[in-house]
Amino acid sequence: MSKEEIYEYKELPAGWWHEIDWILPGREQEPTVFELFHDMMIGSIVGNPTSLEVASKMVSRIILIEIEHPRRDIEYVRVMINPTDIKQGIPNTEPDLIIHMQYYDYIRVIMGQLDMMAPIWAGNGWIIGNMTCGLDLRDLLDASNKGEVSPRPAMWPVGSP
Amino acid sequence: MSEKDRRAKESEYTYELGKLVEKFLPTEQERLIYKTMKKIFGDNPMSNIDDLMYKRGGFHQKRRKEEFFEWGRKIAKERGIPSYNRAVGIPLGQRALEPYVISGTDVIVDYDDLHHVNNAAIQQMLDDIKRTVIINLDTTHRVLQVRAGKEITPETINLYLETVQHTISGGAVAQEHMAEIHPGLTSDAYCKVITGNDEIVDMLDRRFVINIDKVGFHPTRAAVLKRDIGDTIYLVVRAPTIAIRMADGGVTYRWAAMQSSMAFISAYRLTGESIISDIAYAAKSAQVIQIGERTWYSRARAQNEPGGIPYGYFADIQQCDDKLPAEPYFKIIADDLIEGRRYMSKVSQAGAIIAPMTELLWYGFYMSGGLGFSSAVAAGAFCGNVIDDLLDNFSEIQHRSISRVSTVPPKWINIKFITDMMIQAAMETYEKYPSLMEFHWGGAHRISLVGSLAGSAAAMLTGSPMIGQMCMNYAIGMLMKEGWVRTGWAGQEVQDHLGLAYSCAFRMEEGGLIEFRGPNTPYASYTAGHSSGAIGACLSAQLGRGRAYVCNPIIKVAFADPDLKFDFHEPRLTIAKAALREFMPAGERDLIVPSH
Repeated sequence: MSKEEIYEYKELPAGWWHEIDWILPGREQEPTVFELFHDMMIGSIVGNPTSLEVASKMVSRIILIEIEHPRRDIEYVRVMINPTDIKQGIPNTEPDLIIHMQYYDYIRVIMGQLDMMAPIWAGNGWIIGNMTCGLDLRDLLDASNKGEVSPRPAMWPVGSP
Repeated sequence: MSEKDRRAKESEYTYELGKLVEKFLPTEQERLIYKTMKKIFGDNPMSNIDDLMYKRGGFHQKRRKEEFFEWGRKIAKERGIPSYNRAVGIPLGQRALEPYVISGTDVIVDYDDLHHVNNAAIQQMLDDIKRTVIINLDTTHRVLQVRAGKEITPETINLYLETVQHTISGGAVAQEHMAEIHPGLTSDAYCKVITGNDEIVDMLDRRFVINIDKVGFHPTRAAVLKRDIGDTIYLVVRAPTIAIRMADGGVTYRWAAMQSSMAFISAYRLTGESIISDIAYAAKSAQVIQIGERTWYSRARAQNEPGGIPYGYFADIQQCDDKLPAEPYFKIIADDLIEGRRYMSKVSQAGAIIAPMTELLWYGFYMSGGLGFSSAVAAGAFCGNVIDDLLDNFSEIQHRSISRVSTVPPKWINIKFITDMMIQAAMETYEKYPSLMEFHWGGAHRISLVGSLAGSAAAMLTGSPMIGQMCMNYAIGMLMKEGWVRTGWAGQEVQDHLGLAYSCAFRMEEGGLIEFRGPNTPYASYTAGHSSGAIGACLSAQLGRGRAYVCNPIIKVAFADPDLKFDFHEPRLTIAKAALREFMPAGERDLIVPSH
């Protein structure tokens, strides 16, 4: 979804993950949130020079992603930026940011089809914590999906704590 | 633990926020707040040290203080009793008396010139509100038609309007032996009508009409105002300033009812029968719009005093937003940052009416009796470009983060993150600029500013003043408390914690509709530092919904009148003019006192 379209929640068709090139082959079940982020990190972010350049300018971040699946339990993934690390579950210290989102919104976000903030503004998710950290995550996703990052507010340039 | 077993933990990557700030100086130097604080303090605004502390020349550093000093001596000599005496006032020494930059202008004034007793425009703002009352003429016209058999035509209405200009100024009709008032003392008294019907407007003498199409409203706003006012004719009465200065705001509707009724008697040749009591009743009670209700008994103020004015009326009285299209803000900010900034800037401009009316005049002057500190709180709202800078940055944050959604639901979970984001930015700004902390030297400055910002921004996005008010209370009671432990005077009192829950209450003693609450709402009656935030939330919610007025289209149009002494479209400039002693108020008594 581009920024021009109006957000609407929708589920993806069965077997959608077979169409995504960076998802590791051989996944028979709909991927977990951890599997998705893991595959994206390896298949999309790490191999992208723009993403690496953007990530190198950021301060260390800890993000907890809480994803609500319509038919499964809530899944937690904690992501560290600079140094990069992904792990299932919650971190052992207070995260900089917590993002709560619906599973299918989350898929569309990491695939670059949906602006990360759209479900939040529409009341279909929430975020708590340091919002500059959210900007960093969005920059990373933008860099990996579009090859460039959106302009940031002047008050909080890249690398701002 | 052996090296082999060792694993990195997230907690080992925490960082020092303060040290990282230094990396972003070039960005900070571009900010309006950096430039303004530098202009005010004449030094690096991010420095923690003032090398000239207490070595700035005492009170002599300011022209106005020297003038006061001279006058104090003169008065003491003339009357034999000491008066103003700077020598007894500052045992600890005189810090920097920083000049005040009026936000959005290049005007620099002395702080003393913004005191309400020294600033004729702030006085006139209060006077213009207190001396206004609005009477619906429909009942009167109906009584005249049905009970007196009179015909109501454009000619008779114009004759009545000409007559009422005479009576409202203190001229006599019907009984020629009455004492009259020197018209020079009441030259600011007049009446005009408002209607949404273009045909009626065309038939009336244009000198007596506030023409909605011609007082500066954006066409989309004018259309909404005309539609909502409809065919009804309202008479906007401006009693003379001298009347409310001698009595109080409560005199206005009595003055208006009496003089309006007398004009009807004269214009329609009525005699002393019961229909006159109907006309007087309509004007005095049945169909009159007071600007403010009476306050509760321990406050004991009459109608039209600032304590009884609902928040929504305050927001309608200001006219800073009149030229904006009636479009929802969240759609505008998603598309166009420059236009979105224009919307935000109107909220900050309105602060020059809202903050002086509530914090300075009602809580400071009427209620507490303090004669200086509330000037500082109010001035914080329209000086130093502080709100301008922060709202400007908030617009950008919103523009960069908002997506196209059909609506931003007024839900707490939905708006909390953006409030966190913006208040984090505001508090970071205070922490980065010791000069700003000095400029806003009291907790009341900071809580009223931060609370207003939170309330306005949240209400702009959702169109809900309730969410705005909740965010204001949350920002003061929770975020500032968590970030700074204490917030100072006017923060961390009961109102924020109570307010967060009461924002949603419709029980009479707790709340009601936000627009109809006011400083007279029981829990808000002691909430200094908060009314401007609540009013800002009402105004912002209107911009968020893309409406043309907050709660009463008649009030909105009545204060768009270009013949008012105080300019409700340009409050900052009007106050600045008065600070430079270039503003001429009404209500003077020169005509009846010896020449001086």
